[in-house]
Amino acid sequence: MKNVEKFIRPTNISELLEARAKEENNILLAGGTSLIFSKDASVRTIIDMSEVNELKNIEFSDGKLKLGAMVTMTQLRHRSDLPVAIRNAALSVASTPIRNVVTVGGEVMRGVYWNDLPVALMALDAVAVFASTTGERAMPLEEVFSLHPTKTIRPDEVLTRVELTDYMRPAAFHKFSKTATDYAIASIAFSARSFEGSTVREPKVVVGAVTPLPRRLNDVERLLSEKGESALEELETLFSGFKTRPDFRVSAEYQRNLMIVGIRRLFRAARDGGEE
Amino acid sequence: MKKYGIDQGLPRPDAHAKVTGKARYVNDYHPPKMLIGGIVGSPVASGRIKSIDVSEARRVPGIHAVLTADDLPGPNSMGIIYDDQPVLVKDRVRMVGDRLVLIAGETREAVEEAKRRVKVDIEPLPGLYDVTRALDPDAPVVNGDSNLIREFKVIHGDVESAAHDAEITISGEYHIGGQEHAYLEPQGTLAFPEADGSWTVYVTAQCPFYVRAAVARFLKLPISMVHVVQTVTGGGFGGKEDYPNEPAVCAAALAKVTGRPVKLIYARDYDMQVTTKRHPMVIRHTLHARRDGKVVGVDLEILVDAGAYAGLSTVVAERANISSVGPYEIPNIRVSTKVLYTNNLFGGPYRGFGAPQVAAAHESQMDRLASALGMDPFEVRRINGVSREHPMFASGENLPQAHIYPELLDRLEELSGWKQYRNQPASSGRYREGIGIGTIIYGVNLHSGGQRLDRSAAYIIVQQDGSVNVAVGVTEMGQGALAAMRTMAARALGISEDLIYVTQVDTNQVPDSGPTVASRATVSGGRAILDAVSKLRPRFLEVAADMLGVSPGALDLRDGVFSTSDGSALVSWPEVTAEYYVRRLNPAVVGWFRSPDREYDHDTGQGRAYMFYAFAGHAVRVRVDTETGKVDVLDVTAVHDVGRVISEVGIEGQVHGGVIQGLGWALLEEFRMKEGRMLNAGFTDYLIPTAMDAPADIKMYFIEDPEPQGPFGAKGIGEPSFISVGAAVMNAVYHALGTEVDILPLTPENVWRLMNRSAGNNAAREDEK
Ligand SMILES: Cc1cc2nc3c(=O)[nH]c(=O)nc-3n(C[C@H](O)[C@H](O)[C@H](O)COP(=O)(O)OP(=O)(O)OC[C@H]3O[C@@H](n4cnc5c(N)ncnc54)[C@H](O)[C@@H]3O)c2cc1C
Repeated sequence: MKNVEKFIRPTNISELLEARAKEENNILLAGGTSLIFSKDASVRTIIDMSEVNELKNIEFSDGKLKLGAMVTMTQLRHRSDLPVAIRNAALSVASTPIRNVVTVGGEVMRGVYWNDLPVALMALDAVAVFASTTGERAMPLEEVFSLHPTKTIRPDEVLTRVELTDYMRPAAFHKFSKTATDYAIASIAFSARSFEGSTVREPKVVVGAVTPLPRRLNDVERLLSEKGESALEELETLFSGFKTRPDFRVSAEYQRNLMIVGIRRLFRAARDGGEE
Repeated sequence: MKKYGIDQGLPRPDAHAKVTGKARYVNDYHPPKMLIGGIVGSPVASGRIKSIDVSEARRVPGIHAVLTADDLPGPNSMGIIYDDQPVLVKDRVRMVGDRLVLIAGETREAVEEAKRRVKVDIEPLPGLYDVTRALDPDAPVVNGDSNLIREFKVIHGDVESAAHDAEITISGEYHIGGQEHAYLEPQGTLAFPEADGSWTVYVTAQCPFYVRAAVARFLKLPISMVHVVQTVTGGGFGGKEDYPNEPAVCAAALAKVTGRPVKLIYARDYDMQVTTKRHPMVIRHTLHARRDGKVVGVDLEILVDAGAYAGLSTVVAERANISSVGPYEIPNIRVSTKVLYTNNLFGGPYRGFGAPQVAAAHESQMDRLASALGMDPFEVRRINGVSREHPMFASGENLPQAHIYPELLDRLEELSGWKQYRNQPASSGRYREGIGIGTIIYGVNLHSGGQRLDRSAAYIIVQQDGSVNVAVGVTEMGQGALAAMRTMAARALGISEDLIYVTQVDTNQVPDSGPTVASRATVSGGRAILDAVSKLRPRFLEVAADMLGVSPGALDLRDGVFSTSDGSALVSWPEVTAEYYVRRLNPAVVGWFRSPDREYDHDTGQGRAYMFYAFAGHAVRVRVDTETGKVDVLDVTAVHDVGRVISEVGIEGQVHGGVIQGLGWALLEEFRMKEGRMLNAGFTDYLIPTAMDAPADIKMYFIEDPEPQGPFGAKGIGEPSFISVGAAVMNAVYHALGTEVDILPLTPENVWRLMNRSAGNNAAREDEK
């Protein structure tokens, strides 16, 4: 970013959207934890969102949970009224000083394989809300991640919040890593509409880090819907051909093992309503 | 209430500056006209240089020097023991990061730009990356005319006949990984020519006298003209023993050519790739025993992966060689330790000096024997361990301190809750718990092979106001040496610690005191202080006696007061020092320590290897997740034979640090290598334990059985605090899983593979590269 000429700090959403629309080659600054590494020489303007207070809210309204784009991981972590899966994912991110600044918007828009929060959000069917001077549009996270998120957002848009409906359904998240601050070898989230006996309705399984972007595992979901808990013992065959993102830290079979182990654990954790 | 120590409970003298960020590390110095140095290293581990084109680099604005091997202003030779390493490579590249070009410029940006513009053309050659293949006839020869740098042996008794008579034989091949020092302050030097032709070198280092010798040799100057100042050193762990010579010589070369001060600070990724590491070793261990648990022979082959240059690998191997049998009296021993070149990472000194790797093997073997005989691991150690009745070490020496080992076993068993945890390991669901021990013997101070360096100085000046300057030749690198020296000087003199100021090592202030390694700082620095005080104290007693009109023999100096035993005559220390100056008496003295001469036969490993020995033992409790292989450490117990504790917080810090660093080595720290390149060079991927990963409880006990040769009876603690941790972790995992463990580190995937291997699951093989 050696050609940056301008640094602006809007104080409300309309100023922000205005600047986003009109400033040449601008980039949005959220927590800044990945932005500082950017080598993009085309960037001319940095738009710092740290003073846009409307983006820092956690709201329950219209039957939805709305997480502002500038809400930090530390905020999520400390809110006991939020789904455990989201709080655990927020706590999984790096270390305390980093969690103090990493934002919901940055976690979603950075689009790197170790991002933990989007894995949990996607399993809860979260919807991204993008705003521009011409209005808002909503897009399920699953769709946002069908490409890299920087390709799904338009240059004049800002991700303002993430919305969840039916957010208190059974769900769980787990990150596999070697130390407390390590980035994920695999992160996995699970949710379901409900459990009845050994059967499960509308299970959702999302993995991260073993894939370049968070990915829903439709085959696994189908098997779980059909066979309920007994499907957990048949996962090996489903994963035998699963192509993981090559990771110099671990082998592909170990990645697959973690997915299988993770799904089994999270299914039971979500059902039993406890933490993993 | 503190239980241990002879200190007065003051905070460490270096603590405040470090905690508040005021301490000045080498990178905090900015003399006028200083240039920044940089190194262009080889991108490949093995190859032949076809050309190096620096013409573009020289044109970068702000660049003052771009040096290739042909432009060096001194001998192109770096090896500290063997002449096998150049300062700059001219033809053959042997390791990733091998130095090709040195650059000095006005700014870091200019230097980085110049580095990018250096064009190197290297023809890749086949490399050697597997130490077990180093002596194969078709293996590429990495350096010199053979990959075998040196072989060390221990020959004692007749292992062949022991094998013949044995009732049970246990064999294992252990693959023990290396370790990065992970000091927080990377390598760095600031070198500058002084106007009078002398040189000053600021360096982060454990061994400033090594740096001085290397720079003087390179600049062809008398040693007296090179002044090395050890700046506040942010961790060493062995990584700043010999390695700092390299950046120091590079900075000196650039400073010589430009005539300006040059500062060379390594970036973290470069530091991790090129600096010395704990050696990866392959250890083939065969143990012969009787059914009653008595070990009658051990037969070992140890392959030490030195990397492309010898460095101090042979010295490390010499310790590994003699330590490989462990704290046991075994009648028949054969050890062959081979130090081998490869194109892997550069091996060197690291806390424990080769002893942790061999301990991992000898302690695993003991536990396998116990398991094969249905015995308790403590029992086999009691049967075979040295003791008053069986005091013989592998070197053939009878150890005067042998009686401490059985006591150590008792303490370790008791304090760790062994009986309860060993007999009823808690296991629930996917978790299995286990407890394991490791015990070691450690030769404090330098091996016989290095005894010519085993000396140390202390220069003490008493000032007129009663304050005291102490300069020692052993370094503070974070371990608390300054505090220990202060305590020992105060205690020996009989005055308050806050009157004493100890300086970091400055080679112009004290004679060459050898390296600060081998857990020798307290012993050798302390002994030099005691020697100095023994010369100084009578001088002051005499003046005090004269002032009081009593005989010197009737006086003692304690707590800063000279007094007769009945307390009838008193005079304070500052009154006496003031009077001493008025009388124009000599207030300074150099104290000296030299270790006793030792005879040792290098062909058989028999003789007196070390000055004296210390024992240590660790018990580690783990919980293994059998589905993922992740090992959590529940608690650790450390028992140390320390002679005498100097400072309780100081020794606790060493034990905490040793245990956590040992757990890092045992569980996390792994070189991910590809053809000599460390893929995880950086703290993002080279994981060391954080506070959150440390065990909740580290219990410790210190056996205080004073060592006659140690100051106040003290031995060393720096390395023993680390050495048996890895072994204990291996045995704990062995206990938890019932699966033989022959590899370190026990990362989750490695443990998972061990479990699959024992379950005969062939799916658990690497299926892609
Ligand atoms: C040492 C370290 C370890 C880490 N470990 C983890 C980990 O284990 N798990 C994990 O999940 N994360 C981890 N992270 C964080 C992660 O890598 C990213 O840095 C983080 O997600 C970015 O969030 P941010 O708020 O700092 O965003 P920024 O760095 O400010 O921005 C990131 C990108 O998103 C864009 N952006 C941000 N907000 C918006 C918005 N509202 N609308 C549109 N675009 C936007 C920015 O323009 C930029 O391109 C780690 C970071 C560091 C430095």
